Amino acid sequence: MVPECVQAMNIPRPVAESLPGGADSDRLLVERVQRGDKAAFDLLVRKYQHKIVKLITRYVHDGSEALDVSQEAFIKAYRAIHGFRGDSAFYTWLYRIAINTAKNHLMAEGRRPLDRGVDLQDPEQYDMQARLRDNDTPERLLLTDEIQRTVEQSIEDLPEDLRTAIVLREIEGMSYEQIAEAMSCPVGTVRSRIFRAREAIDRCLRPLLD
Amino acid sequence: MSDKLREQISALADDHLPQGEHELLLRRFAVDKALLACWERYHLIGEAMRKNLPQTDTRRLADRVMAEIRPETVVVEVEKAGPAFLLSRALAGFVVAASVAVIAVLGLRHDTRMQQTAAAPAEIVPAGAGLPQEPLSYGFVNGASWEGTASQVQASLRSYMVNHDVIVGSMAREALPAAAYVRTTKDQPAEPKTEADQDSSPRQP
Repeated sequence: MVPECVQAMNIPRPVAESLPGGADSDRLLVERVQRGDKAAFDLLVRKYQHKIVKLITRYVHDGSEALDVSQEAFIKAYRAIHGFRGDSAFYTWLYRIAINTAKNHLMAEGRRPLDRGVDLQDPEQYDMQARLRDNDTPERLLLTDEIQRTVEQSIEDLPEDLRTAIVLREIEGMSYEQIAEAMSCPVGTVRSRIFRAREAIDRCLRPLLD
Repeated sequence: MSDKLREQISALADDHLPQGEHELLLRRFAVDKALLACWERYHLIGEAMRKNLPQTDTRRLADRVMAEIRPETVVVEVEKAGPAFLLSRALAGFVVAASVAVIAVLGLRHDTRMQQTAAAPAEIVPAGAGLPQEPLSYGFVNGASWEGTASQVQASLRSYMVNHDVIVGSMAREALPAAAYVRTTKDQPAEPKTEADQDSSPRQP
């Protein structure tokens, strides 16, 4: 997925703070939820729903059941968010709630939760396991694959400067400042390039999702 | 939805939105569903690029979650206030109680001074200055009441009783029970009885 133009660059390694979905906007949103702003929680759900559903699918293999458990996990998180003090990242906290909810769901169903030796801290491991164990309907698989293909094709079609910027951001997890350094351009230009790349991908994606 | 707004959403998704731009954008999210959809798709693109999409259609999940928690808002806000809210309520109660206590103490001290003043009026207040010329009285009949000097109250009661008699006379006399009394303050000598006072004694219908 990483384009050759990116591979050829002398890219500084990303720092933890600049990983996608950094803690600052999460903290801001969590504080707003704690002040009673439920729209902020909506943003958190839309941001993390894909990760949470994917995580829960490790335990609950049926797609619609996984959605139900994910919904329950988010509701539990909402009810408990006032006790969240920010000692860990919001996603780490949400992740634990999701795993516990999935395990409790299986116990309630009389099924034994099996981790099957998967290290849940290692996303790459459970990505692979998920591909092997997910048993969704063909329509759902088709949509996911279609989204995946569309995104990949859209990135291929992007002008090089936009493609490099979005790949460094989304795949390499670099901050705007690091990308600006790597691409020898101002931070404002990086922000604009990433936005234009997303817009171009989004234009191709929208007909699939509507 | 303008390009500027979508660019701000893109920057927020990357955690690179300048502080000053947060507030307005977050308010717009609350009222514009298209912005929410844009935010969701930007994250979807990121997950797809990292090949991290679930094999499940998540498009309605957020709406389902929000539909569940929407009615819980009020409860959550009360819970959210938690210890701070309870503490502030307790503090407010304490402040009110303390204020009442202070007023009571000040009032008591003021009353004590007044009693001292009454015991030796010639020493503190010149005769007649600031004191009522007539003793204060209070009267009531059937829920109506009057305050003032004894003669004012008597006049009001007389007027009331005359009107009362007229009304009752035109209706059934038994229908409206009436009562009246006049009390004078202990410190002051009662006014001499007059014919008017005789008239103001309680009457039975």
